[in-house]
Amino acid sequence: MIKIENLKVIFGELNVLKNISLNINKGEVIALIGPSGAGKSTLLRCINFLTKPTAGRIIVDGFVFDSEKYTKQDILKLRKKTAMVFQNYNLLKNKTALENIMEPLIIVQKKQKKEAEKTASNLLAKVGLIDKRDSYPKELSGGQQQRVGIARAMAVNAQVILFDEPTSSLDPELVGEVLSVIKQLTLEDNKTMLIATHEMKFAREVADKIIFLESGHIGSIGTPDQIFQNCKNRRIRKFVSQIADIEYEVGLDEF
Amino acid sequence: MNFDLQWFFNLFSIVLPGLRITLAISIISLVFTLILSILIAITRYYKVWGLNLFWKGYITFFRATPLVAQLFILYFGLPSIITSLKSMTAFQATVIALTLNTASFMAEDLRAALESVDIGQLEACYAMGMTKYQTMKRVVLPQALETALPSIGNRFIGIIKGSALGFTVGLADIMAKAKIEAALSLRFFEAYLCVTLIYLVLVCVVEHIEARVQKKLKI
Repeated sequence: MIKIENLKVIFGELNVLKNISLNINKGEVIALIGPSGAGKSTLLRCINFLTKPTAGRIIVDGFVFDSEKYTKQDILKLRKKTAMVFQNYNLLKNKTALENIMEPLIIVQKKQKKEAEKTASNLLAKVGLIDKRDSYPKELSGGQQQRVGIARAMAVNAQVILFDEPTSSLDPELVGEVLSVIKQLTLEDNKTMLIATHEMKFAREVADKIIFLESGHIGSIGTPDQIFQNCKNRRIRKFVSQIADIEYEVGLDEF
Repeated sequence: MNFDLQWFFNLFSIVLPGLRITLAISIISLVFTLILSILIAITRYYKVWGLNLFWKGYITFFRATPLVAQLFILYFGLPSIITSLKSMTAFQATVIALTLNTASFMAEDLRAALESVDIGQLEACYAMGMTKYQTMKRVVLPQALETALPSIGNRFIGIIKGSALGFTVGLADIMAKAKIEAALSLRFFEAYLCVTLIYLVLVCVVEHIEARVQKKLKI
């Protein structure tokens, strides 16, 4: 479904990603964990070409993107197959919550306005924000903005949704509402998701597979139990136990 | 006191018909200035090679020289070399000079506003699969125009006052009418006070409109 082959990213002297290869099956939820600077965000951003890979191939749903040989059209094609939820939400400031979700449907997918509006309202209802449909981003809290951001990413029916540390900019008391929305989506929709996160408990609960990324390469890959319980790798055990101290409760009951 | 109040009030009926020309110059110049500034700011924002350098030279020249000199070169100077410009009217010359002059300032205001739009806004658009053009048109430019609104208002006020130079090339705007009346009656104070008040009211109206637009955009 998604295949990453020998992906490399070099910024000047810095080797951010060193030869990453990865296979993701349809409907899988993958959590990317690892220390800051390990390359989690860069990996996600390469998959929709927000960061230009230095070398390697990305294959999404049969579409092959070769980072050494591509056209502008290829970039747009790749981006249409993916959707992203940003750390800083990045809702379009000059559009309402509803318009933010409608925007990719109308402008990129060329859907009719009525149809787009219906899809957008349904999704807003799903993330519990239908009463905020006409609010502008600055009128919403961080948690609400991120929920709209998630709805926007869901709207386009992308092959994969990339979550770039979706709760890292949020006030602690708002983290729960966002995580429970993501959790609910993983339960209801059979979407392929790649989630970079520092929320270990959350990762353990929602992910089918955990990837531990350290200094630009995949340190370990396995089921949550393999990573969190029976892990023989001392660095992973150390990392997980350090992070576990600053964890938040995640539950569907808040919803 | 040597102030003829009766004459002062009479003056308004003589000067005000010139308002049509003042307004026409100002509004047409503003529209052209906006179009030119957006064009310059966007090509500078994307650092379009060649054009960027050309605009830099243009901006330096028009910011560094007085409007009146630019107008005189355009209206009196250039037609003597380029004969096809001889058919240019005083109205056209004033609009062109005001546009070229104001755009050199406004383009820089707009470029700064474009650059102030958060990179995350662009990334969100690109991640959706929007093209560069769609991103500029639907997100970056609207946000930049909102940011730049106060300085656009300032520049428009500059245009209105700059239109007073039209009288130097023979336009019958409010300034020209006032000057003629002043010369005829030798009542300079009344005549120039009258035209000053008209400018003042005009600019107050513009300020009011700007404030309303800003309030509407502020949400």
